[in-house]
Amino acid sequence: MKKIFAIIKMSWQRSFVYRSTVYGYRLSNIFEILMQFAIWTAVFKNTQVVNGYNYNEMITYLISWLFLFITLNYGIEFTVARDIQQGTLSNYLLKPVDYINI
Amino acid sequence: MKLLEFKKFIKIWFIGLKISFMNRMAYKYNFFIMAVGVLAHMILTIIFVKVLFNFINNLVGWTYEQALLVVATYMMIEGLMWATCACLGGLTRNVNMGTLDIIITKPIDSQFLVSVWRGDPEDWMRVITALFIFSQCYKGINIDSYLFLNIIYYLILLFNAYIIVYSINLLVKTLVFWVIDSSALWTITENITRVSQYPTDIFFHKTVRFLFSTIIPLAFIATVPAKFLVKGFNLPLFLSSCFLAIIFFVTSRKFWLFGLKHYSSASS
Repeated sequence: MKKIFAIIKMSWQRSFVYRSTVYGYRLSNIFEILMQFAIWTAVFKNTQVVNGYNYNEMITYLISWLFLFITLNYGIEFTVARDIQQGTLSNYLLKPVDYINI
Repeated sequence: MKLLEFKKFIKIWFIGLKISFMNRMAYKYNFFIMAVGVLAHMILTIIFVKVLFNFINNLVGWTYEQALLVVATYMMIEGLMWATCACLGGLTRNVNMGTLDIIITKPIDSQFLVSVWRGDPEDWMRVITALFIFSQCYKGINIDSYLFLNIIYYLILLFNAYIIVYSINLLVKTLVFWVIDSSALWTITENITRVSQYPTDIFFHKTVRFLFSTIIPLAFIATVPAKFLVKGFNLPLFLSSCFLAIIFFVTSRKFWLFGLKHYSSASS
C-alpha cells in the first residue's frame, strides 16, 4: 500500500510540473459538461421520460458518468502504445510492481 | 507573381499531404485500424442522434434529418481539419520536440508550413461519412427553386467554418510557446469545437448563446451552414459568418506572430 501511495504522490507531483495543463484539462471538462447538460435539457423539453428515466435521473447519471470519466480517463492506451514503440516497456517490466498501476 | 506564390503554397500543401500519407502507410495495419476507429466513432455519433429521436419528434425545432445535417457538417469540418492540417499537430509537436527551428528558418511563411506539416489521412473517413449522411438526409433539405444557390452559399459558409475552426485551433495552440506541455491544449480545442456538433439552439441561456455566436462562434461551424440548407438564405447570418471568419483569422495570425517572438528555441 505504501508503494502505491508513493507512486500516486509522484504522479501528482509530475502532473503539477505544468500547472497550466491541469487547469487546461479542467477548463475543457467544463465544455464537455455544458454540452451534455444542454443536449439532455433540450431533449427533456419535448418529453417527460426517456426510456424510463426522468430529467433528474438522467442528470444524476450524467454527473456520475462525468465524475468517472474525468477521474479514470487518463489515456493508459496511449502510454502503453508509446512505451512499446519507444522500447521503454521492458524497463517497467523489470520492476517489482504492476506496470498498469505505475 | 501572386499567382506563382499561391501555386507554390498549394504545391507544398499537397507534398505535405503526400508525405503524411506515406508515413501512415509505413504501418498499414495501424492506418486501417485508425480508419476503422474513426468510422466507428462516426457511427456511434449517428446512433446517439437516432436514439434521441426515438423519444422526441424534434430537437429545438430540428427534425431527425435536419439534426443529422448539422452532425454531418461538423463531421465534414472536423474531418478536413484533421486530414489537411492534423488540427495543427505540427505546431505542438515541433515545439515539444524542439524542432520548430527547422520550420521557421525555411524561406516560406512559418504559419503556413507549421499548419501543413502533418495531415491525418485516416480522417478522410469523416468526410466520406459526412457525404454519406448528406445523401441519406436529403429529406431535411429545403428543396425550392433556390436550391443550387443555397448549396453555393452552404459551401462558402463551410469554408468560413473551416477558417474559424482553424483560427480557434491556432489561437489556443499558439499558447504552447508559453506552456510547453501541449496535451491540455488538444483537449481544450477538441472539447470547444465538439460543442458545435449538435444544433447550438440547444443552449437556452441567453449569455451562453451570445458567447457561442460571437466570442467563441461555435454556431457558425455547423448550425448556421446547415440552416442555409434547411431554411434557405439569410443575409445577416451570411455576412456575420464572413465577418467572423476574417476577424478570427486576422486575430489568430497576429497572435501567432506575437507567440513566435516569445519562442526560445531548444538550442538558444
